[in-house]
Order: sequence, then C-alpha cells, then structure tokens
Amino acid sequence: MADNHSHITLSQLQASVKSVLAGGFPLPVWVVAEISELKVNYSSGHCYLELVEKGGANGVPKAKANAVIWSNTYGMLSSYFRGATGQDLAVGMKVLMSVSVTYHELYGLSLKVTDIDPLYTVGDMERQRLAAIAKLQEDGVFDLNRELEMPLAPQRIAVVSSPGAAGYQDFLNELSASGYRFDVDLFEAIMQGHSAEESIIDALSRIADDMVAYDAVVIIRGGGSQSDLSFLNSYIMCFHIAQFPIPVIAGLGHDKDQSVLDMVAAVSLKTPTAVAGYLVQRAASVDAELDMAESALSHAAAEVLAKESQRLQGLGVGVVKYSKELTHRVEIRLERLRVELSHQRSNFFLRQSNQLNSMETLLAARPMVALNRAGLQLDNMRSLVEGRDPQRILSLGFSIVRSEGRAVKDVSHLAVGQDIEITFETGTRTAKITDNGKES
Amino acid sequence: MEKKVSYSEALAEIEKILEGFNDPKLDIDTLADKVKRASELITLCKNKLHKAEKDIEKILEK
Repeated sequence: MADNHSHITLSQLQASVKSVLAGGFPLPVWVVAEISELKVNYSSGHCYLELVEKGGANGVPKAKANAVIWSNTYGMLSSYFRGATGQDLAVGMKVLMSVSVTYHELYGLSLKVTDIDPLYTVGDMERQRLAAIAKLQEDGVFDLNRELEMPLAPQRIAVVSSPGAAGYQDFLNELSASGYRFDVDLFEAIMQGHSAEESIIDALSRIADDMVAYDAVVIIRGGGSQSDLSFLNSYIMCFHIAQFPIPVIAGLGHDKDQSVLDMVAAVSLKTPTAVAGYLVQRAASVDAELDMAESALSHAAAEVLAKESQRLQGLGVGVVKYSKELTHRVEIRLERLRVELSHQRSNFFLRQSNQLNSMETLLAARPMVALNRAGLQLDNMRSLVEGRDPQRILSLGFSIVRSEGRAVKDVSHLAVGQDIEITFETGTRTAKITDNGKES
Repeated sequence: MEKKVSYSEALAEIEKILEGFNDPKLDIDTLADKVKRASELITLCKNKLHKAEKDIEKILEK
C-alpha cells in the first residue's frame, strides 16, 4: 500500500502556517473591531477577548477573532484607556487596537494586543451618544420626561438601583436623616455592563405596573467603578425613560459629561446623595411654606378673635345699660299700676258699699211705701164698703119702702090702698098708698 | 236653712225683693219675711265686702 498523496504532519502544517503569517504580518496592525467577549483572569492578570465585526447577513458577524492582552500590557493599557475614556474596556465597545497576528499550533489564530487608541472608542462612544440624542429628538420623546410636572414634595419613591451598591445605601441614609417621611421601594437592576440596559428597562416596566403608587422614579448608581457606563447613552433605554409617565431623577455618580440618560431624565444630579438632598430640600420647602401658612393662619385667627372679643365687650356694656333702662322703665310702670290698682280697689269697694247702702235705704223705705199703699187700698175699700151700708143711706134721709117684706124699686108695682112699710133712719112705720101718680 | 250664697246671688235676690215691693199684687202676709230676708242678705254682703277689702290690703302690703 503506497501513499496516494504526498503529505506532511499536522504540526508541520501548523508550523508552516505560522511562519507564513509571521512573514505576512511582521509588524503590528492597527485594526478596528467590536469587543464581543472580555475576560480577565485575575490570578494571571491576562485579558482574553473575542473581537467581532458586525454586519453580516441574519445578524451573523462578518468576522471574528480571539485576542489577548498579556498581563503586563493589560495593566498599562487598561489604565491608559480608562484615563482617556473614563471607562474600562468592556463588551460592546468599538476599539482601535494595535495587534500582532500570532498563530499557535494548538490554539490557532490569536491577535496579541499591544496598543490601543482610546480616542477612537471615545469618538465612537460620542458618535453613539449623539446618534441616540438625534434619534430621540426625531422620535419626539427627548423632552417628554422633563416636561412632566414634578410633585411639590415627592415622598413615594421608586428606586432603580442595585441593592448592594454603596450609592443606594447613601441615598437611604440621607433620606432617613432628614426626619421627613419617605416611602422608598427598590426595583433591583444591574447598573453596569452590557446587561444594564435591559435590566433597567425591565425595572421600569415593573414600576409601571404600579404607577399610581409613586411620585417619582430615582435611578442611581454608586461611585466606585467607572467601568462600562456606556449603557447611559443607550438609545433604547433612554427611549423608555424619556417616555416614562412619572418624573425620573438621575444620580449616576459619574463625572463625565452629561450622558443621554442625564439629558432625558426630568432632573439630573451628580450623585445618589445629591438626589436624596434634592428630595429632602423639596420636602423642607413645603414644610416651611406650611409653617408660614400656619403662622399666618394663627395670626389671622388671633386678629379675628381680638376683634370679636372687643365687639362682644362693647355689646356687653350696651346690654347692661339697656337692661338697666328697661328695668327702670318697667319698675315705673309697675309702680303706676300698683297705685292704679290701689285706687281701683278703693273705688270698687266704695261702689259696692254705696250700692249696698242704697239697697239698705230702699229696704228701709220701700216696705213702708208698700204698706202705706196697701193701707190706702184698704181705706178705699172701706169707704166703698161703707158707702154701700144701708144705714148710711137712711142717715142721709133716704128711706126704704117695702111691700110684703120686699123692697119696692118700681112705682108701678104700687096700687092705691096697698099697705107698705117705710123704714127711716130711726124706725119703721106702715102706710097706705093714696094715689097712683096719675093726674085726675 | 243657711245655704252658702255668693255675693252676686245675694245682690240679685235683694234686688228681686225690692222690685217685689213695687208690685200692686204684693203678698202682705210674706212682707215681713221678705224684709227680714233682704236685711239678712244685705248684712251678708256687707260682711263679704269688708272681708275682701281686708284680705286685699294684706296681700298688697306684702
């Protein structure tokens, strides 16, 4: 069995590739790429990166390579980079680095980073920042959060931060030291690195679920590491913040120029402590206003009371005077009535007495009058009776003529020769009729 | 037959008796009784009047 192709060993091939590459790239090359992975081995101090160039179809990168920054270089480069950009090298950053192409039989192609131009990254970061601002303005959302009305004294606060961060603790301490009451709810989020963007957006949506419970949102991060704050310029995150319906107060603890987050937030302050101070100050000024109002109210009330007190006093005096007058008049009237009553009483008794006296007089007089009248009546009757007495008539000279015992009234009853009796006052005689009265 | 007569009743009776004396059909038999009755009534009234006067004086002096 003979060889069909002429061949070499793998190691020979690898060695060959290595020397070709070495020959082809004798000197470092300045290359731009995006850091897609970054890992620092803390024991060795070496930094291992994966670099990509994005832009392929379907989100697949156009190119990819492994890179390494050996520990001695890394120490230097990272502080240089940080000094210029204010940030540590981090995933997502576009960088301009000087790399040597190296090829290892076992590990394949690797780019050894020997230098870096931070200005490129700065420029790129700046470019991204400006692009984000422009897009937000174009979308019409850039000013929205700043145009919201900040409550006079926000007390119910939703905090987006990481709980372990010193910044959050400082914030809480400053609030509780003020003596004013604040209701603070923490919505945890990652506040650095490339997952910060999504984490903060998620925290905001959790706050939005209970929107009516909060007066303001506070986004804070502690000082400490300045590493990877590029999320502060994230378009998508700032898009959410700008449109958030509750005012956002930012205290991002970085001493760079204003990030896009600072620009879209309703209020932007340097540090979490400054944010706490801002909230406390607003509470304090409302407090002071209330004190003033209380004082003014107290004065006004005191004035009103004083005036009323005076008025009542005046009325009191008037009442006393008036009631004295009234009493006096009533007393006079009562005295007059008393006198009148006294007179009336006397008059009355006098009248009654007089009436009884007249009755007495009548009583004395009238019976006698009646008796007299009765007496007169009796006298009358006696006269009448006596008048009829036959003896009285005879005494006047009249006589009674009787015939056969009966009185004669009619002359025609008498015949000549008839016997009659004539009764005189002093006796009776008999007689005879001698004529009959006729003329012969 | 002493029944309690009020002042006004007594007065009325006295007046009736006095009127009666003017009547020509006066009953002579009862005349003396009537005079007695009227006299008693007048005394009664005078006493009542006197007592009332005294009582009121007492009240008003208080």
